[in-house]
Amino acid sequence: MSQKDVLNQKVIVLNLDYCIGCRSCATACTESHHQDLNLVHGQVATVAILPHHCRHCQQAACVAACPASALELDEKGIVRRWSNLCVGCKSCVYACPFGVLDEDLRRHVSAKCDLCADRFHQGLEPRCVATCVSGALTFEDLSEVWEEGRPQFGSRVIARSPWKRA
Amino acid sequence: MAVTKVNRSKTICPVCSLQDGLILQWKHPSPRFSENSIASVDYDAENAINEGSLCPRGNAVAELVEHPLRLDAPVVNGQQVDWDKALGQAATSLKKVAKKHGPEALGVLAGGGLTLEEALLLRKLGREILGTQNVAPYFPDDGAVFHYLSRLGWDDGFRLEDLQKRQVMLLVGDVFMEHPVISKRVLRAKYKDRQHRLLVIDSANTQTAAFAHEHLRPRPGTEALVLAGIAQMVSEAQSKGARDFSLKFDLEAVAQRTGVSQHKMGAVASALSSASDGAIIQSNLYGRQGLHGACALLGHALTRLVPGKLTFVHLPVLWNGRGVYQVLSAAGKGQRAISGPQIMEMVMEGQIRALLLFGLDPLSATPSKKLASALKKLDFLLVADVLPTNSTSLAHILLPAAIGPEKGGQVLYLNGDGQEIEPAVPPPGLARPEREIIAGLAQRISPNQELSGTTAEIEKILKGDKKTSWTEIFGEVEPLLVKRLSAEEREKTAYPLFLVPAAVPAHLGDGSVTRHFSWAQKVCGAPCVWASPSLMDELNVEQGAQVQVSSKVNQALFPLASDDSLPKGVISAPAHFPEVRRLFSWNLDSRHGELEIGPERVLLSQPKERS
Repeated sequence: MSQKDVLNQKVIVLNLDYCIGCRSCATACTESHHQDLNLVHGQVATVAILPHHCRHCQQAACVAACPASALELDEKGIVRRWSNLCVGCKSCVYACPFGVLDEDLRRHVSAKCDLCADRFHQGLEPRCVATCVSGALTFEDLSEVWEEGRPQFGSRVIARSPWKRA
Repeated sequence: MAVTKVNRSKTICPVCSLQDGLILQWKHPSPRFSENSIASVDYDAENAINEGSLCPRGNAVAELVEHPLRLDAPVVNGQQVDWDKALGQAATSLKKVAKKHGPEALGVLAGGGLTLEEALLLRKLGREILGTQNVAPYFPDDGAVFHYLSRLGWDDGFRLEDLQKRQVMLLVGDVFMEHPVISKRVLRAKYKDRQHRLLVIDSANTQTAAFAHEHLRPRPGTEALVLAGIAQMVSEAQSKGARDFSLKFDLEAVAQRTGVSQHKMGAVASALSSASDGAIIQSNLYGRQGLHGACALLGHALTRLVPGKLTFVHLPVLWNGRGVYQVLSAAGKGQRAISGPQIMEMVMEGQIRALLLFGLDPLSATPSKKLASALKKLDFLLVADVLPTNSTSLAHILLPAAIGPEKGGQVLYLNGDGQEIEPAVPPPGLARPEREIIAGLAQRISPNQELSGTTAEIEKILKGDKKTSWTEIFGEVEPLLVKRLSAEEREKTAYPLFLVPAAVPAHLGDGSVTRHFSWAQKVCGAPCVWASPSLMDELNVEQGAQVQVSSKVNQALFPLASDDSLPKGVISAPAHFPEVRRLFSWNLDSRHGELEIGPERVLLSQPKERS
């Protein structure tokens, strides 16, 4: 993929200022993926519960680590899993630098975000974004996310108010 | 070539009172109707209420529509029968009880799953056809709030879209975890301008409180006192309405009892009185707030005391809870008003011999041994519900009912507007909407009397709430607040801890519906108890170990989990399980007959070794 293609790539963005930790996104994910939990949550103490989304890396460690070629980066820039090829070795789980892949296997397969492929092809946002109760999750072009001046850190965690940001 | 057609219907979520819009879709010809049919939920981004967002419960609505455990045929004494036989037998049994013990031995109770029309028909069935006064709604979580608001007049007419522009928001309770979808409006309001303020009153360091500019953290059960203190400060600073506000407390004593400093209360009072508009949002889960009825009253009073335009929004637990309450609890001319818990008392005392339960599971909502044995002893128990519950197992006659998207009809929204919904899917098997069940029952009891309810009648009832003056209502709650202010600490020695119910977004209310959802089973499938790590050290128990929780009414064993956000002397447990609810004592408030359940004093101990 060219640099331009990458910038037009749509990504899921989490705004920490808005996430209330209700896990609606994970519910929407399991309900629509045959009860597979493709979206894990990380927890800091009790009051910061945040979803860990797959980044669909352009140089994906999980793809490189897979011994069965069950993971591939497709032409649209989505890291896809072929469940029929997966041998359940968990190499991808250990390779992922972001810890987005759940360690528990379901039906001998580790879970993997597919950006809700059925909706993606219709030009719709993934279900986790559509269901987000507080508007914390958005589905945007990478170029928009990298826009200059756009805040990168959640102020709720550091200063309780976005206006205090430097 | 087989063609699969996908059907889509816009409808609303039948679970909680926010009535979020959603799209139910299924593969043709019908959802559960063909072997591999699967219903699913899609997001209705055009809906003005939720803009497509759904909480974990809303995402599971498709599961509810085609749940394998759904009741789909009438059952009489354990045998599946047809509707004609079930309704005929029900009518015969009711007539028999009425003949033997008089019509006052019959009782009718309803939950929040009925539409307005169904509530009206049920009221007529009870009051006119069965001839009993004992017809009431049963809402242990919200009854007291409904009582005060229906007497004061509801703070209606606001639009949910407008809330997101308000300058100040005061949240009472763990609002985000109980009703996640409201967070969108609240957070938009918070971040709209740097002057905007988000204030939270809750006894625990919750997810909601994490967003607050100012978090008042009163001792469990003293939320109403904090609100009374704030209201008093506001009324002293304003000339408007100050005469009406008759409660006067020693603010120093309030600060000491609640653990919230006068400075903090003052900060909230000045934020509320200096804002030109705002909202106070209250949400209560079974016993999370002490005196939750008084909390609603004082929150409502605050909206009248401040110069700005403040709205009081109460988020009830159940779907059409407020509508059912307003229609069923209003007493007509020459009729006696009675509350649901009062009817339950009559059941427990054996005065009521036959009971009809519509969409309600008292053994999950307010479980107790006494209630269970009283329900077992009834001459006749009819239950109409959608899923098997603790109460359906005791029913002589069990009738399968329908959920909101299956029946359609009119429901009342938070702001007092009616919402009309169309039926989106047919009910499973032989299940029927409650209106057909009620009409069928009425027709068999009294074939000559026609049962009908019109929209005009419903509107008349909804408008007919009598307005009571503040002074009168404050006179009623003052003794409660004074008692709370000077609460004796005598019990402290026997039961040193407070048990505060915690909200889990996957569950709702008593959990009788949400317990069947696979997500709820995954994240919170069984009750547990949360304690702070320091308390666990003190007791010398490990995470996951079984501990015994004893209150003055009951005791039970729970696995222990760690929660470092809990303050000293407080433990927490999800109140969506009867095992947890059983620990709370049954406090029937004699003034209004509704339940006042607050944080319960408990003792946490290691289970005794079996000998």
